[in-house]
Amino acid sequence: MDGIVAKEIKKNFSKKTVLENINLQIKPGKIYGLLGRNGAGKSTLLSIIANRIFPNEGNVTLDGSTVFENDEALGKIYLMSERNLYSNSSKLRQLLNTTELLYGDFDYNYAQKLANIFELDLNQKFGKLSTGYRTIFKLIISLCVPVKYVFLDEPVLGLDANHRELFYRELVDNYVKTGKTFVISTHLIEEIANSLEHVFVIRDGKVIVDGDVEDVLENAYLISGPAKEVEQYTVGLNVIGQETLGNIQGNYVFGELDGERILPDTVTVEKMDLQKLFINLTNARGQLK
Amino acid sequence: MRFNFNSSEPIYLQVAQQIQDAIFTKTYAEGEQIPSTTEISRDFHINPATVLKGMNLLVADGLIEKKRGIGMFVVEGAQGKIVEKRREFFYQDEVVKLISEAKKLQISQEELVDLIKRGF
Amino acid sequence: MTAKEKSVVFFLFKRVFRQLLYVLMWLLLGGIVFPMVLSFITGTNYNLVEAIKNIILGPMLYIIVGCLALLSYSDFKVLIQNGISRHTYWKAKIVAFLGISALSQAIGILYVFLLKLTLSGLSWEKHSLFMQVYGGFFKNTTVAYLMSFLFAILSSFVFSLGCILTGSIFSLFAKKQRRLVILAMLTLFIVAVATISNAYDKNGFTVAPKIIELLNFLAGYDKSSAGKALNPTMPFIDLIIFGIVSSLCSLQVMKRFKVRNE
Repeated sequence: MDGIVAKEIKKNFSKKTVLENINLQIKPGKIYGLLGRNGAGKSTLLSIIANRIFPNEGNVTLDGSTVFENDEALGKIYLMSERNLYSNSSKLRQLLNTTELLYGDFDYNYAQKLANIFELDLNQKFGKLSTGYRTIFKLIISLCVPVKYVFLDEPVLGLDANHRELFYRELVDNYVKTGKTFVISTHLIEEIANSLEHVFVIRDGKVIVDGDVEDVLENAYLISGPAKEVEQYTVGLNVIGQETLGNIQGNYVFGELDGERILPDTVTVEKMDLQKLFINLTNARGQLK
Repeated sequence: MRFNFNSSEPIYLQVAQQIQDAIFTKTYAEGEQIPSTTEISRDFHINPATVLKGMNLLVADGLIEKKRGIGMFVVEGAQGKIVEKRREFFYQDEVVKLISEAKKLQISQEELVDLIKRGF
Repeated sequence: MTAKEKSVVFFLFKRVFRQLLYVLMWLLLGGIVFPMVLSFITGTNYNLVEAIKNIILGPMLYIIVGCLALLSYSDFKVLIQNGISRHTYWKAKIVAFLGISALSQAIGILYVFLLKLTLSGLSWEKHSLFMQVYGGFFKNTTVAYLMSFLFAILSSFVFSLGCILTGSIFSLFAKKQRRLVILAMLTLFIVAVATISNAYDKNGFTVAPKIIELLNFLAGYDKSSAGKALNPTMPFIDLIIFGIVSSLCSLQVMKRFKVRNE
């Protein structure tokens, strides 16, 4: 099968189940979003895909062959994680050299250009960098490393608004120029939402949404108006959240509306954006039928 | 170009709308090149596939055309087409609504014409 | 070897070599420069030639290389970040340490020869356990030297393999757990020693000869060779078997490596 396929991934830490049964496919040449709240299991899943840890059950394949203990497949994957695996005593330039040695064809000119844009001095030691600059350095490697699949776990951690803006620009630019696949895991959705083509939403170790952003949002509605009418109109629909202000109520519906029902004059139907949908799907009350 | 990302309208429609607006206001003159998909994607952090979808709507409407290897250009007569389309839309949407509201308020045809003259 | 494996060997070799130079520099500083400065300050005599003579570089490198072979987790982290499998890491580490052992022992022997050439009254044979025990076995001194050199390299390499196994076992544990494991091993060791000495007290004449017999066998000693130089075949075989066993065990351990939450 084309791309990266995770099949029936289960993972426990001690006795706690972190991933229950994950199935997903990452096809080449798209920007994916892996969304979920803190602790939903995003980082664990990415660590399994990049073979940093092993799952209790299940397998991950790249173009049909397993990625576990497979140099060829692992050489096509780069995971930029929150956890720093680079040695603190290494100079940044040295780390770039190591990346080139082990991955091949590293785009030095681009790395230097990015370092200039972000005002990062490559002659420093990794351990001396602030959280934000560690993120920036790892992002630079992610953009310059010659792999087909780039996984970014919380890519804007510690970045200020200016640097975030620069990163989003470079991300899209790099994507268009290289055709790489990006999988971006984050709980800060608003800024990245429109860059995504496909989203996975993870909750409690399960994938609860898997679809193209447009298709997903196609059936995400906010029905608002007087409480009684709104309740009547949305009864039996998949209501994933609710907002009330005095007598006015808004019901968030994820799924098709009933075309047979008559919409009262007092009730309005709007579309939800990704951020709202995500919040409603992943908060304590949100339920998916 | 300006996008309202909080709006519930799909982004690709907003892209098409924005470019159309720019052609209408002659920001992009007929025969001129418009920004590439990449440029728009990069500047507004919109997935290139989404931008392309919006552009394709305009291509289908005959407002812009693709010149191979160069980019997208505004078709000759595109501005006129937009004006025509907007006039039609103006009648369908605004005028019909205006009249229906006027009828509810028991404003007669003559009175409405007077009001329009006053506001013009 | 694939191109990737070669790259990893190069990476590890370079890294270990740098660490080795770093440690040597400090040893030199502590062993020669510091006493020299100290004697200069206190006004006592300092004999540089004597100090240089006293450096037994070969065995020192032997130990240092072994210690460097203990470190596993930090390399694993960098390699997995760069898409290198555990299996490749294992293979490359063994090849790299073969190279480092050979190189460092070659340097150690070269050092002794250079000293011998420039300073009189020095005999490395007296310091070499191998030459003492097995040297006489060979009719030709050149062959004896060569075998001694080979033995030094092989034993240094096998020692490193043992250290790789030990280090990789420790890498399975988080820092806190590691302390507990060391404590547990110490306790086990003490208990084992106590049990053995207890057994020796009770039936010392049955257990001890067996141990001595085993040691004799491993060393290549038998009654017919009493008083003569021993046959060195056995120690070579010992090393090879120990090396193979510990490298295979370390592969099994390394395959269980994972990035920890620390």
